[in-house]
Amino acid sequence: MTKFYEVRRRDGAARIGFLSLLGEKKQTPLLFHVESLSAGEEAIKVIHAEDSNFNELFQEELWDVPRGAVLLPEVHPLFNKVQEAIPSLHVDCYVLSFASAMLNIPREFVRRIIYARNAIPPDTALWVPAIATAENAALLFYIGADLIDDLNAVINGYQSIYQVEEGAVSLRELEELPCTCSVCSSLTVEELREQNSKERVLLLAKHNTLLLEKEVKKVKAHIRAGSLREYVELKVRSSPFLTAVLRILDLENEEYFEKRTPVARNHGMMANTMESLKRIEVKRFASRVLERYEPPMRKILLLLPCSARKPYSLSPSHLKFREAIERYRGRIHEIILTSPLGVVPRELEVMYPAAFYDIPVTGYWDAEEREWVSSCLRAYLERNVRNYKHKQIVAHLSGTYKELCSRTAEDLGIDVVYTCEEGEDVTSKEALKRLKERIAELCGDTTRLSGFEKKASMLKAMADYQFGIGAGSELVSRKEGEKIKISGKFPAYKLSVNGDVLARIVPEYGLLTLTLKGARRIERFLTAYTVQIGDFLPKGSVLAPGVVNADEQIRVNDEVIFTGKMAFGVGRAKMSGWEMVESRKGVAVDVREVEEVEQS
Amino acid sequence: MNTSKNKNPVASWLDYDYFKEERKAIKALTVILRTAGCQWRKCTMCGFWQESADVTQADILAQLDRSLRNSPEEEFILKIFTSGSFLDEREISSETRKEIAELVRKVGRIRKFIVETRPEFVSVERIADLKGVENLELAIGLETANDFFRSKYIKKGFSFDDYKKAAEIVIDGGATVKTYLLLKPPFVSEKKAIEDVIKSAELVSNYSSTISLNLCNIQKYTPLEALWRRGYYRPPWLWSAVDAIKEIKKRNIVVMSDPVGAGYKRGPHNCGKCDLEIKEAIKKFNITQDVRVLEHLDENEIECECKEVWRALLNYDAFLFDSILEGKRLSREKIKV
Repeated sequence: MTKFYEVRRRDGAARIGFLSLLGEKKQTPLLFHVESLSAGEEAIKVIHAEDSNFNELFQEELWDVPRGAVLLPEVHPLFNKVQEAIPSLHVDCYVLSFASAMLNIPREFVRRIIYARNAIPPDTALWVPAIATAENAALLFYIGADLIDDLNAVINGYQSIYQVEEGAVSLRELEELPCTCSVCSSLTVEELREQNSKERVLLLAKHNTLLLEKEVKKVKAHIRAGSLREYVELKVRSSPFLTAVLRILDLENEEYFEKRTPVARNHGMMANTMESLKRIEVKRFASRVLERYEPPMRKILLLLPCSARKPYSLSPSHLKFREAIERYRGRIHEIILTSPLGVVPRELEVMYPAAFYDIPVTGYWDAEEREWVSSCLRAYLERNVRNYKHKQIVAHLSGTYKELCSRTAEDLGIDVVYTCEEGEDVTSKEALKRLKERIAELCGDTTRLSGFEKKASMLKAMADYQFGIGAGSELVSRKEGEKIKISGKFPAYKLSVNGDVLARIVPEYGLLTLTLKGARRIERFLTAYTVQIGDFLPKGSVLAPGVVNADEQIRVNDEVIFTGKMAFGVGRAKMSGWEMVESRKGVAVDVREVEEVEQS
Repeated sequence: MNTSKNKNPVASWLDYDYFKEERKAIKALTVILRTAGCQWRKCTMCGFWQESADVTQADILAQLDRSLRNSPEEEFILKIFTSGSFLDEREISSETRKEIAELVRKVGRIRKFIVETRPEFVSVERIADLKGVENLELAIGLETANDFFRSKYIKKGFSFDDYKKAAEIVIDGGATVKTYLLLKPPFVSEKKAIEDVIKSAELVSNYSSTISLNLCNIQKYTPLEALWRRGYYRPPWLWSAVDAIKEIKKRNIVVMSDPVGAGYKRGPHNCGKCDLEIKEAIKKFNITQDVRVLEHLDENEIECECKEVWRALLNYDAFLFDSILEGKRLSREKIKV
């Protein structure tokens, strides 16, 4: 339970929040200055389990400034005392003690922070003291720290250590000050060295602190933008230790991040590194394509390569493919092969992250990328080809795409018709002509896809992807006496029935949003996306204390309904479902539409 | 059974010690006897019991006999440690104790006889075993007057009250008490450790004639070693030792400290550059009790850069939350191993 801290925004495990210090709301991620801390200027009280006043933390009295409890490592004799106390403590933050011990081994770094984050309530802040540097701060916040301090920066000043964004160097080794902070632009490295020791220490400490402060600002900007992951992938390059930490996070802590990663962002997703393949967004998309997507029953399964422009349909290459197959589209199920997402069905091309990712295209695929994309294709074919009666598979692929496809098909014993010759470009006249001819041959008579069918299939697939199979067809199937209309320009479609809007595609987020009527229509499919609230009628937002229960699988930016004795509404989740349940502070759901429920 | 090993002490050596009774340094013979070892064996930092063996009482006397061959010609102090308790019957029987006392009296030149024991073994009878020995001193490893630190962090298994009771028996029996205090138990920060040892010295000064400050070092195969390996412990800075000794001395208490392992990673250490000089100063202080040799360290500006680091760490101790900030570079600097 917190009193002076509140989380406002989340990007993965990282958060932006506010800590009220002496009435002033300070934004987190926050950098404490040890000088002000020790001067008592930062009215924050941290109590250790060995202190005689530890019991104060069990009571709400005397809670007049932000306060925290020290988290102890398992090796500490008072570890259990603290662990058992956590559920009953009235604190705003927890402080990770012995933090420096995790700097020896990357796995310890990961383990200690994640263990701490899992042990404490999600609405409390985590302070990782004494070890922050401009180099590791982004990663600390990425894993879930909210508070750091400049103690290490200051002590480094005493140790003649000059911090840089990507590490630290001894002042002795520097030939020039590689920085433009107020300290470094006011004197040369020689002048800095020649200062008397007291002055030199202060200047170095100030530079180190300014650098750290700048880093905290950068991290905040990335959290707001939803691009912290990209920034962290960039930052960890500075050391094998930090890179190892990120890899361990990806490989061994999937659940921790899955529980915290938003379902959508209004920000591009750059897959520039080998770690990008392991992102939650990538894994989640691949698994939902298998579990929450029903391909249409069509004779031909056509595999196409991805394009740089997203959604693919708007790219020059896909416009050409479309032209070649337009007359037979009613018989064709299109999937796009791509790295790092694997397989993107045409109907899901607008979905996050399918319309949002970008990768460096060189024509060279590394082994892991090949392995991953092949495994996605293989799983897709195994699951769907027979069930959805795709009689023939056509691959309009060249180069590595073709190679991956043919190897996978051979493994599975599936016949594939290839419409590109060796070394031929997929958009070459010859290849496109061959595609057109083979499709015509295989399909026989022409079967176009109506505009409505195309749009409806998108809305259906997106609803299934977001809410689970079943929701989509319930949403778009016409019932007796209904007049269904899908309007809007691709991809911003709007579904209405008898003039009432039910759902919209929001291309900025790669999501489908529901209106109250839309939510009512598919309510029985939304059990996993339902937030139960208390007996009140929410206005702008549903706050965490008003949440009675929420499904575990709700994620930030998920479309959810909320129901209570007095209200039914629809909105966007601002925190994960488990977090809504465990938090006592913060916005749980941004309300889009709400109606009063008739009391029976 | 390795009989030749059992007939030899673990170690014995000759050096100087401050002879408080006459306010001067005289030679001291230290003997570490191999016995059945300490029965408690639970202290976090202690690995001494690993020296124990299945020895007979005759072996023990043989060990002492061999050690005494190195006795100096002049008067000296004899210190016998057993890696356990000299008054524990399971280590040294009453008979053996009496024989040892007899031996000490026979040598004649032994001006002071110091043995170590846990307080639970102190009794009027057992002290009586040693009657007739000149200047008998019982050393007790209290480590700290803080019961919480002692029981939770050191796992010593006795209380400050137990110590006080034992000390009173010793004093009533006509002997003196030497109290071992531990500088920096595990889980105690540098600053709190210094404060604790000073406060403890004040609290035991009524009971003990001498305080021996034990600068915590990492012994093999101990729980403390495991903590240290994982980065949860750093032995005290030598600057802390100097500070504590000066503060205790200020209170008119006789204090000494054998800087075991000083300058090594496993022992009390500073940055690697100034360690040796400080170690020598502490040793010199031990036998002179002249605090100027320590003050000299400041005035004479050994003033290593690391002293400012140490001072800053103490200054911000409350916000370290037990982190150890040596700095990447410093940790790579040569600390003798």
